[in-house]
Amino acid sequence: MASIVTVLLFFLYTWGLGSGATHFLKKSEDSLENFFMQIGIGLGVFAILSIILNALHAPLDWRIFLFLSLLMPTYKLYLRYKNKNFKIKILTLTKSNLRTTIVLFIFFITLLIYLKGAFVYPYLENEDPWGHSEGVKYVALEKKAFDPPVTVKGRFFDSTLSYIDPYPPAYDILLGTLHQTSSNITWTMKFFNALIISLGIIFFYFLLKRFLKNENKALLATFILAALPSYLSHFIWAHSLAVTLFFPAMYAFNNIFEDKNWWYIAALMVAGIWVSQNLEQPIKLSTMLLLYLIIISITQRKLFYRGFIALGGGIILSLSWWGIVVKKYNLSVFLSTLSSEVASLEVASIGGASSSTFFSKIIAGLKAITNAGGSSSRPYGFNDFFIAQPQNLINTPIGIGIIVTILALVGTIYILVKYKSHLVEYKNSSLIITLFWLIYTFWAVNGETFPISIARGAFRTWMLLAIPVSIVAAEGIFFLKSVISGYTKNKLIWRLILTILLLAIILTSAKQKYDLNTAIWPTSSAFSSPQEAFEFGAWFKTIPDNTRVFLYSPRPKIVIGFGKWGCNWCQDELDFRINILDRTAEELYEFLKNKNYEYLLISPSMDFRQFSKKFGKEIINQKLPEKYREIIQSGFFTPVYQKENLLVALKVN
Amino acid sequence: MEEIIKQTIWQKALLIFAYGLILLMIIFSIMAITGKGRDYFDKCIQEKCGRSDEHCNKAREIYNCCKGAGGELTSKNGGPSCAFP
Repeated sequence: MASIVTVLLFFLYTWGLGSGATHFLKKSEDSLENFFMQIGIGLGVFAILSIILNALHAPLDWRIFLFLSLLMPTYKLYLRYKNKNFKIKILTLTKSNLRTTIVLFIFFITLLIYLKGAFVYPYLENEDPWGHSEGVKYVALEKKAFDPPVTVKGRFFDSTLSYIDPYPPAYDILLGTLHQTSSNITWTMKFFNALIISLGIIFFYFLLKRFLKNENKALLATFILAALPSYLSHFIWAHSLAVTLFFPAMYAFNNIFEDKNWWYIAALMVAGIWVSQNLEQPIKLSTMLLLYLIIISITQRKLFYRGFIALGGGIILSLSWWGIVVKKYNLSVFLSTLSSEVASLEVASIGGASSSTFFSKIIAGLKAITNAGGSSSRPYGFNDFFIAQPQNLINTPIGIGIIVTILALVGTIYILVKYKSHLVEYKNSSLIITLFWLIYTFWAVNGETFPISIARGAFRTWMLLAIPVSIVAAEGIFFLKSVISGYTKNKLIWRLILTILLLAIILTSAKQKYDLNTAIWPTSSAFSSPQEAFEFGAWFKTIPDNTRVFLYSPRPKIVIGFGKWGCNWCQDELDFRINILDRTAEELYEFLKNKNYEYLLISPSMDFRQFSKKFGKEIINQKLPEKYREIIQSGFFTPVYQKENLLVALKVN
Repeated sequence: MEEIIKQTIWQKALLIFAYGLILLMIIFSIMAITGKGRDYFDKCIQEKCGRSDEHCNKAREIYNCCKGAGGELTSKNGGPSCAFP
């Protein structure tokens, strides 16, 4: 099931692209830092490169990505061969490498926790991952990331694949490319999603090492970020990639001071963010980058124009996706899919209402990007921050934890009191930037609590709040260290206190994160209970990957998410499903046989719920049992697996 | 002795802005902590109803308003309700 080759390929793609992109740039003397940050940068390069290839209608094939990834490393190897330079740098045990080893340990623990949780159930959680599985399968098979030219009755926009077109598809392309060499889509999605999030922990450390210019503080902040429940769960969605890319992006911006040419890497990372998620996180992350650029410009008393060019350039580069999408759907229709505020305005505009002036459009746009709502947004109270709960939202867990909240408060007060007006000096830029990030993300999280909202989707900002919180909490620990140093010079006492603090963070934050991330999560509403999904998983496990299974219910993404094959983007299948209940058993058999389906899967409870939505309960109550009888008695299908009232798997004879 | 460098107007403005925002966050937080309870819940539900009837009666929206108001979700007449201590 697990594909070691694909894991190696993932690192080859990302390292190769990152190494190639940064080849001519001044890099760190720390080879471990270079290696890992090249992976991070490669992840961003992959995102935007895949979009550009797609725009050029080049096939999104793993061999093309491998070829492009190996170009520069091969050239470098050739140069070494030519210069007879075969020296290999041996890693020595330094304090810096020791810290990196600790970070790698945190990374492994994080990865193990995420993997344990992701594989504790056989299905994909909630709804989004099932939707992504269709996009991933589509990219893997069709090798493109534009919607298929199909129409579904009653829907004219985005009729089939939810996370491809107009949704920026870099995340699905990445997983789809990996799926081309890893036959089990469920494993591929679960493993690589967890890997991407966990790698973010390493990227965060190397970013802070540069940003804070203090390795110990960077290490502590990394530990705290990894411990926070609110920093990304193993939920499979595009946010995993977009948020992770923020760290290599910031790293690149920071490196512009070392070598001005890092601006184009920064631009590539921004572009990568903008093609990974549907505007909400890109806007928030770009706001954080913009705060960084403005504050740096003020503190260094010189416009950081290369940074602004990188941010603007990255957004412009992302038009390789957004430009095409806007052209394809036209601006009005495209905007109306993004928000109800803009939609209502567009309707008014179409109707000739005079209210739709330029300014009202601006206001509607602002309302759209600052709408705090969303499925799980709510006003938060003190306890929501202070006490991390093990029972939590699965996509965006909330909560910081008692100790980290206190440390963050102490750290913030310490920064304000210690630095006072010196806070706006260049040498203290990282502190004032962190404070502004803290204010921005705290305000955004409280979009439904405070009188004014400044960002879209309050609950989806918790993961961003975790970033400045971990930095100021690390400052809080350093403040405690300075207080204790004032009383005693005995280092042992400080180490003892630090150990107690770290243990307390584990008990009040990390444990809750562990509990949440290793619990059995709920799944798609297509299932009436997780038990039903477990039963599906048990049968799917008995047949080979990518077996063609036709789910009678109109939810083929369930089949795909379980690692088999069904087609939600095939026009003939979409048409066949429209009046599937009127099809005879023979027609059903002919269709499945022609499409090379091996199994027909019937789930009475799922069928009842799904068909009732369309035809009404009374009709379905009468029609479904008749249909089942007809199918089973037809002789065209042979029952091979059954769980009473849950599912019947039939072999297509 | 630490060198004293005169700050630019932009730096001064940034500092004032930072302190101003922190003060605003404190005020907003106090307002949020003190303004909870039944009134808050009713106002929250009214806002949801303003969006659509569907929002108004959705269990999740009632839960969100109830948690935000510091209440506990209970059941009343077969539907979700919010109780306050």
